[in-house]
Amino acid sequence: MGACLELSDLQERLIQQYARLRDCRVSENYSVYAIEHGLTVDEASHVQELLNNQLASSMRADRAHWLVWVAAATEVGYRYDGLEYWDSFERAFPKWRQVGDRNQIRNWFKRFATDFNGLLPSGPWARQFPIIAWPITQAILPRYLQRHFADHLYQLRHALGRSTELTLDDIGDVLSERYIGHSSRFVGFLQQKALTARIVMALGLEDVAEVVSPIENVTLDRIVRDFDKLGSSGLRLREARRVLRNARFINSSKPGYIHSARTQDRVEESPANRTEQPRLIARPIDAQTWSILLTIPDLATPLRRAGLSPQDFERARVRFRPHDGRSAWIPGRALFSYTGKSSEPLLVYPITEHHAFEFDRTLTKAETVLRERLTLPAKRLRLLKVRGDGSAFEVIGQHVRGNESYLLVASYDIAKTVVETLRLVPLQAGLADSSLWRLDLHKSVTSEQIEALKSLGLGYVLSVRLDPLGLTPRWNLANGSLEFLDTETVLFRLSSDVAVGEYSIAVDEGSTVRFKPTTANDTIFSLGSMAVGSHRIAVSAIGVATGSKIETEEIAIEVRPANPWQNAISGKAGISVNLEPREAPLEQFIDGDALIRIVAPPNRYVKLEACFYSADGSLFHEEMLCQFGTPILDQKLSDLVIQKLTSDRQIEFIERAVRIELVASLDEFGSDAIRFEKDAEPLRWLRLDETSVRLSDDSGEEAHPTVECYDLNAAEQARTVEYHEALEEIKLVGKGGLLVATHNGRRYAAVVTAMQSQLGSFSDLGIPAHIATPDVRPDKLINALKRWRSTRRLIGPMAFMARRNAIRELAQRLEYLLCGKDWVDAVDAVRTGNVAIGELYGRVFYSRGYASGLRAYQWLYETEEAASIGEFLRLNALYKVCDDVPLSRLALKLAFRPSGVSRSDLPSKTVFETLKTNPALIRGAYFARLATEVRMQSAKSEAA
Amino acid sequence: MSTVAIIDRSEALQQTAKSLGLESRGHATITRSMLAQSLRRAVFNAAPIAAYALRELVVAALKALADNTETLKMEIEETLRDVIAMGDILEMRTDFSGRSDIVLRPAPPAFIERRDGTFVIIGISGDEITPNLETPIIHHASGLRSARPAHAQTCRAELLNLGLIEIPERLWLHAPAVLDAADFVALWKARLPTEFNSEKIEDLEILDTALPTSFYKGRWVIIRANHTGLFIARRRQRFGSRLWSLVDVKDGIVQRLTDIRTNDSRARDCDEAWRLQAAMDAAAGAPQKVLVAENGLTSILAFQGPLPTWAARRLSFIGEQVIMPRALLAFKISTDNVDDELRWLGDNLWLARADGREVK
Repeated sequence: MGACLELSDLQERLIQQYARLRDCRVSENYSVYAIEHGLTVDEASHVQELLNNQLASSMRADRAHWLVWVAAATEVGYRYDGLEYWDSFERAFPKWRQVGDRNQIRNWFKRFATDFNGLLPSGPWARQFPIIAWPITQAILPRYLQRHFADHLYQLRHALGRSTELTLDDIGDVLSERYIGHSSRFVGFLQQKALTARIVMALGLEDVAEVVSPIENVTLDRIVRDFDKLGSSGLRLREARRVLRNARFINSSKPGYIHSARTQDRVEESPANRTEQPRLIARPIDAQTWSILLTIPDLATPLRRAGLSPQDFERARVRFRPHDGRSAWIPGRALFSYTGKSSEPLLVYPITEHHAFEFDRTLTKAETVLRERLTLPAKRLRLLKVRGDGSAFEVIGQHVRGNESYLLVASYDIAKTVVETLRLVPLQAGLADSSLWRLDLHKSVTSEQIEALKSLGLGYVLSVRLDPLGLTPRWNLANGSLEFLDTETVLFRLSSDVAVGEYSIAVDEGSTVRFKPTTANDTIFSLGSMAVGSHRIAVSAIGVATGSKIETEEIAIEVRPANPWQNAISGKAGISVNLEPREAPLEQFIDGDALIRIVAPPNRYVKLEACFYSADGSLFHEEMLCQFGTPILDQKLSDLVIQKLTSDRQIEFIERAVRIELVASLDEFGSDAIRFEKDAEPLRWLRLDETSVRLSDDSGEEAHPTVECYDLNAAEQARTVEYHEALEEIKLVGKGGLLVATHNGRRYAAVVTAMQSQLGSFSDLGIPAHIATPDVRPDKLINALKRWRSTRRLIGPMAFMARRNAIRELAQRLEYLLCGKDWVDAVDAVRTGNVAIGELYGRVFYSRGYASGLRAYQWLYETEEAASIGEFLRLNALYKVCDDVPLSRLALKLAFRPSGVSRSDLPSKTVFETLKTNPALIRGAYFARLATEVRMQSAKSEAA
Repeated sequence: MSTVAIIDRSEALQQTAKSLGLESRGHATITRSMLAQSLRRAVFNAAPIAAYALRELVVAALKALADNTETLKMEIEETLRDVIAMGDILEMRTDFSGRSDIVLRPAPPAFIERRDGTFVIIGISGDEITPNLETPIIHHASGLRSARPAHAQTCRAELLNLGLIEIPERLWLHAPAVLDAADFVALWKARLPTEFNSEKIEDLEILDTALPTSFYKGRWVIIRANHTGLFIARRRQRFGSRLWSLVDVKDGIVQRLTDIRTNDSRARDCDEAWRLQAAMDAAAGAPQKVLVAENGLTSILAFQGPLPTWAARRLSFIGEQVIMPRALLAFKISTDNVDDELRWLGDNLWLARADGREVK
């Protein structure tokens, strides 16, 4: 009884604790969490012991202590690792497995939510796991989500750290809106913005000045302490915290905040204050052709600094458009989308001062801010330097250097002598009123060339060279600066056009570092990992010969944090389309025995087209099959493509084509394709009219092929047709059937359907197959299955359906013969959803564990036959169903691939009779297939 | 405030390795894994980009750190071929002004779960190059990246949650479907023409199935009158390399012949021929052999015949190609992986252990 008393005390203490929190938070409508139980580590451990004793003595969880159970279950939820909640729960409470009731726990959590304003679980994750969602939600931030949170915070560390004066609400918004992972549970957690913001503040060691807190300090401290115990995520979190400590948060969600002492002391960094202008950039299309674009600098930042918001543009109803007089007007708020990464096409060379955009109304404040940033000054000749990545960027100074390549965009004709002296190469750009030239300068430049350069208004300078080293350069599109991540080391190699006695390097406003070159002409220097922001490096040198200063080289550097790749890749990554298995023929794919798999970045639209090629290699037809968003399930996509390819419209093209390509295109990103080849055959089936076909024989052999028909009305029966009759005409019986010509051991077959000009009734829409022989033997069904299944050619409307129906009918009759009518009826009930698959366990074998074991395994008979057989043999041995290995193999093959059963698979002539005497074995095999079908169907439904 | 440090080449190499997400130690020279990371980073930043331009970019960044620029170019070429084969970089067809070009783009990040509980990471995760995971990433000498977590399911959940795409191992390897050796031989046999045209082909070389599998070169013989049966053959053509064929021979006279070609543009004819020969050897009861030399944590798998590219690729990705006396190809791999690899070689190429031991 002592234990009960203690539990009663604890129950009372928890009631008071949770009621206090509820009452405190009611004004702000903050929820209460069960994890805020206020118990110490020792007390929590004691609670577990008491509950275990109580379970052992009364063999049930006592409802008088329901709140203690809620707290204890939440503790397990806090330690949840994302995999198995109940395993952990049963480790904590070993008797629970025997006497516990999960629904009871859920009911107690519901009561907790009602009584104390506890947070209700929500979202897809909670719907999928309706019981464990309670203790895990009530744990606020279980350990497995702490890793998500740490990673998320690491990704956002600079966004949070750099944003000016975020309020608590803002922090919650940023965390919630910028999550790009796939955990619906974590998405749900991020919706609790008031809470997440407090955790961020706590991680940044900020004290929040508020009266009502959404989380108990002791709980918050516990979470923060546990963060420090994370592995590599912990390292990332420490880095995030380092950045957060320098952040400038407003520690209130309400106006009139007071900065905490530390944030007030923080020295405001002066941002680089360079005014950027539009510039030309060029990208090669091929060796002779370039496209010229106009880069647009960052507009969003100066607009915001000027106190403008998108709403200001909406209120003023300002619109803008590229200055070509043709483009449509764009709402002014879209100016905020220009963040220095955009460019606009340039169609005409601007001879006079050019404004990138024109506006339909004036917003004076914006005009002042943007005037310079949107103006391209007039120039008769523009100089673009070709960079390492092959693109060219306009340089402001009109100086060229040896051993470099440039593009010249000129609004006038360059004199022939200048072209010859400088060996200018004409290029195409499609830019009206201009010419484009390439200038490749050698290391040494002649005096004639210097004169020619002068005539163009260009100077030639001897200078030091500063080349990025180790990492390939990453260029900023808008301002031409070099971009590095804050995790990358900035390395340069220094060289000079002339012998150097001393180099001097200045970084930003820092002091100049002077040093002698290490080798004759090759010096490496490192700037380490630089701070996020804009930097400028200036390198100059003293020439040995003259003792004078050589032209200074300056490089602008932007250092930024890594962008979350989940967003970045969708604008970069390509697509691949694969067939699995690799060389499956078209027919295997159409049969559903091969899959198309698209690997593409998420949230992109992929277009899938079929291209049909004739024997001479020419493309005679293209057909758009489908467009879909990524990701897409392989099965869903394959089904879609099969449906299109087997439509009557495509059958004719498939018949004519020697090669078919399925081309997946990702807009301007390019395409990838899979190819199906078809062999030209000497014997072919040709349609004569709606209801008749004939055989075309180009084999030139004296021995004639044999010809057989399997009508849809009697899919298992072969009807012999005379060769000469086949050459003349074969009239289709009923809705058609399978025609097979056999020559030198090879079969040339086609499924042909009759064409119906008019539909008389609904039954005309169907194309059923039937078995005509009442007491048909299994081997005869298997042979007919082989014929139908191996037939690839389809001629006529719904020929695909006809073939599929015949195969189904034959396979079902085989199952009926081997397993009995009651079995087939029960399987049908499962397939139609009227009966759960678990209800068939008893029909398979008296020991239900056998069917349960069969159901638990993922049968991949087509691709992993050996493993499937191994598992089937194991279960047969375990449940003493069968120890005959060949018989077991046969049973499994009959169920999964009956058309693949060959003579070598049949150990005796009476093997089918033997199988019938062991219904557990054959039903077990068919049950394994049924379980696979049900699983796949369920996967499809989920995906849909 | 950044400090300026004058450094030597070796220090620059280590700092570069670190920037590329590699251990900074152990990079006294430019390694294959460094080149692979550099190519991945460069293709993400510069995509779409032609292969030659990508090579030039990486050469320009690294040549000052290399002993020999020509060797560096060659290594970059080989590494690029490997990272494309690994699935990190995709070759995309683009049509511009009616002209079709091949450009390179990064593959979206994906993973392959292996049976031994390890994960191969492919694709390029933007600025990070390789996704940040709880489990440390292993950069193999081949450039392949993998993770060996303590708990495979936790790692798989983490990868899926991060947004990586799961790819089946078979698809990644670009390996053909698993077939019985006899079925595979029958498949090719059915491709022989139906009519028999007796023809004596001069200088036709065949791989004689009757000769021991232990000396590949010695199995190539000029067709003779005592040869009867199916053989892999090579025949000369006026231009280009010799063609691979399957021939049906009776008393040294070719009765039927078909060229060995694959429908898949990513596969080579010789790969298919070698696979077919392995099937013919296995079907004849004399499967080709793998020599297994176990030595503590690592083991060597040695082959006396050639391997199709997809098989060699798999082994070189998880291990390292080494030179062994009297072996045509040899790979040093972790002993933990030996059984898995032998099972896979048995399923796909019908190879057996030379010491006759059963594969577990």
